[in-house]
Amino acid sequence: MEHVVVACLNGLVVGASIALVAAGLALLFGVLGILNFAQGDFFMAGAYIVWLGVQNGLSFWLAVVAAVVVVGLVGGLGLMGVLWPLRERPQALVLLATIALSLILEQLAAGQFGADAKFVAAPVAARLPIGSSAYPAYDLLVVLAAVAVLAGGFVFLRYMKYGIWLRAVAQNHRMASVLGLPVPRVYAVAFIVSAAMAAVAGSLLVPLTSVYPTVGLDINLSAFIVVIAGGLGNFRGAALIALGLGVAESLGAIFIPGAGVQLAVFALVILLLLARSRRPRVAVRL
Amino acid sequence: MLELHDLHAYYGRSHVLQGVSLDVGRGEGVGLVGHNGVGKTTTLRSVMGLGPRVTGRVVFSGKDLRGPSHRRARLGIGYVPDAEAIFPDMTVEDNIRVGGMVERGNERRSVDLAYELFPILAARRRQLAGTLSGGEQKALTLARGLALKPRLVMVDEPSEGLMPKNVDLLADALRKALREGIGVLVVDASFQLLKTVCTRLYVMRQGRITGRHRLDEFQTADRLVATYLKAEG
Repeated sequence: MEHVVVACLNGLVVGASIALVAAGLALLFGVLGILNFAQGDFFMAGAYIVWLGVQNGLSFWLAVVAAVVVVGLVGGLGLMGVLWPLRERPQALVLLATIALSLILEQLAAGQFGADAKFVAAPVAARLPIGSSAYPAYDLLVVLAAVAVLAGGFVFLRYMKYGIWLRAVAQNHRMASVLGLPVPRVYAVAFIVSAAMAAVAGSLLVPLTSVYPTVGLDINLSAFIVVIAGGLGNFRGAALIALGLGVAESLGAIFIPGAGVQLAVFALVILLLLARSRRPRVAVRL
Repeated sequence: MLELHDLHAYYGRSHVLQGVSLDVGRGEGVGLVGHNGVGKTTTLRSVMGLGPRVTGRVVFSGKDLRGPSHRRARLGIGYVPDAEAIFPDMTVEDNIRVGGMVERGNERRSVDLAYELFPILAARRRQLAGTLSGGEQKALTLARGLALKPRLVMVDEPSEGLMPKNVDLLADALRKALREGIGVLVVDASFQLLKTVCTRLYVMRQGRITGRHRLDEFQTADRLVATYLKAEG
């Protein structure tokens, strides 16, 4: 029983981190129809900034704030700078541009920091007793933070001015413009929020995963699966499926040996996709 | 208030507007009629900056209109398109609020105003706009446009597909706008609507304005009406 509880907790932690990245992806896809391959690299950038900050004597939490602000603004606006001129061009170009951006960021990171993994100690060392083992409290803090960020994203889309505008632009950008909505600014906000979400995930997770130049690739794959399975542009769906996926993987690992879990998860995703294939329309949904 | 001078527009090689000039005064109702595909909608879209690239001048309140649609909208031009005008996955109320939020403190007022124009919308406030009937969607689009208190509103085919009773409701809303000094440029084929809203009429053929008329000169039986308008509904 005890290892089931621990597996569930592990799953929640993994799921929460994927959900954070996936939520940012889902947001962007809903607005611009862009699958951003560089999303995982924003995750990586956030993680490196925290590592750098802590190396230079900054407190962990301040480093997290710095990472989110810097990656949100620089990453978000940078991505907008790259993609805005391509907005009426074929999807393939947009896709290629984000892949290019992803490769550039990875190379920059490799050149700057080297290929080896960097570690950051968790800011909270306390452990919670679960049966005979002790579970690190920081891991659970990450889950809480993820839930808070996702709830924040939900509130943003549902009640806040730019969130409501974002949904309007996603559903009918011409009409949004006709009603006086500053469409370019709404896009910029979407890019910034999306990049900042990835940075939150990256910076909070360094103590658990370490950071290396291609960490983004690994996290992005799971996030893509989740976003596609949750329904492209479906914010809440992506978040819930990420949590479910994390828990299912961790629990499954107890009963199914080795790579069998991955196979089972992929099979589940394919089933989900088949079930959803009759809903082609895409928009930011809650 | 709105003046178009020699507007030309092209879709690829097709010369869709071939020198359109017209004007709408403050509190004046003006109709634009013509067969399908002669460039009426393109004319309205050009004013909003939505259409293809145009040459010629669009002047609003003495200033040349330029730039993206949302800047033009903020100058006080409302545009009520005939199709794809709503946000289908948002509630009726959110559909109205979206535009009201542009100007600080205008959100509540615009929602109230829209409900006042069409009380049916208040009853449907929490419903997703995409689930409204065609007529209700038209009402929503028009109410939303007028609730923003534009100085000029351009309305494309408001009566299309509506029952005569509902056309009267739309006409009432437009006449109320006129009384408040809002200029109205309406593209429509319903004589029932035009005769109560407009005082002047432009006739358009193949990208050109081919006729300018005072509406009170015409009766239902006239050739103009027979050619371009539906006498009923």
